[in-house]
Amino acid sequence: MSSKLNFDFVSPMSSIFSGEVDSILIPAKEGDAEILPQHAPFMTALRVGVVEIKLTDSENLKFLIDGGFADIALDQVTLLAERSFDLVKSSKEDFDKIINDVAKDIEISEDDREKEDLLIKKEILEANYS
Amino acid sequence: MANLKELRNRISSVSSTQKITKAMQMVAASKLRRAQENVETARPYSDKLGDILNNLSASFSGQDNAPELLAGNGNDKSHLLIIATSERGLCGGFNTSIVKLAKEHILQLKEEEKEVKLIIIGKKGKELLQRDFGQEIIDIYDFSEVKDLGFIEAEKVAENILSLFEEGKFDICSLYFAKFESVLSQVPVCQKLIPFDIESKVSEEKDIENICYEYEPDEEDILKELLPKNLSVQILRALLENVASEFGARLTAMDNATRNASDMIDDLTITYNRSRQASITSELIEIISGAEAL
Repeated sequence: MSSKLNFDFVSPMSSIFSGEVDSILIPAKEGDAEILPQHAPFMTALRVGVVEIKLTDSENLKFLIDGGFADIALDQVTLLAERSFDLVKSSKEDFDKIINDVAKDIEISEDDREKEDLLIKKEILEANYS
Repeated sequence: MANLKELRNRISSVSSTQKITKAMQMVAASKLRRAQENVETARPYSDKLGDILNNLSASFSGQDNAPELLAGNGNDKSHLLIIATSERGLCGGFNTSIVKLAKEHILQLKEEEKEVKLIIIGKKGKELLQRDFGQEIIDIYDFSEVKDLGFIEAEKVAENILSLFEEGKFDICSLYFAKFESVLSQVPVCQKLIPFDIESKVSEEKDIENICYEYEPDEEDILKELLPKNLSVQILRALLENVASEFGARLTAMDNATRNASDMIDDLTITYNRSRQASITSELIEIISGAEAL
């Protein structure tokens, strides 16, 4: 029995992460879900939120995504997201820039649902700002 | 014998043209490498998305309630053709080969008395198609200001197509672009976007079909989100393939041009030297025969 998951995290312009991990926390449409090895085949749409990848007990990766899809089958997890932002490795300038962009988008946004998503995004960014 | 000065001018003008083509070739070569990397990084995403869609659509096959983007709206009267070309010329037969394929299909569709609408991406395609099919063109995208074609541009095109589809302006949509196979070969292809082309992959996915997935939210809702996304991703892929193909075509074209120019310079130099030699000989003969006459 394997105790690791094969995880591929891809965006249209690049492959963001690929490798073996312990577990993954994903922001599924109907609530956060943690995927562990031996998970049942499962497919879900994702909302705005944080993807947390546990490499080992002490090592974590965190990405902010705008929504996307996750496909889980036979210890193989594939996550598709158009836009992602690294919450661990990004520099202060990157944070400033993206927070600024989001704030601008909030101002011009007319759609209530879109606005809500952007506000959540901003909150997550500010909470992770270091 | 041609005038010596004329020949000298021609040689210098050909060699400056050669310098330009050589520079363009080198620029194309370096840009090609980046474009190729982009195509390769975009591939996993669209492949995975295709896999997921195939799995999902298998559960819809034969049902009446499949979304229209997947199964089409049942008609095939009005066709929308999206023709992706380049913004710049001097890339060999790149644009003409795409346009040629598209033109064949347009004429065929017209013969069958179908309605044809065109969306063109790129200036060159517009130049080539405007004269014959100016009335059919409903939209033109010009990305010449955009430095790196990316997801944003693809999304723009996809959104437009989706809203046209929802308004019922067309029934079937296909996309024309040049697939990048290698530096030497770029193949113009036609890809069906709406309805979604399932068959192409089904055979190799047999073993995964048996897995019983759980869906959250249910299949229908996931498909509703996935299909528009797939559209943007397919267009993005086409755009990226096109960019790589364009540079590949330009690289080959400019390589040929550089080689032609150096052949031409060789020929001209020989003619130049011969006529110089001839004029020297005739001057010598004049001097000698003048001396003998004394």
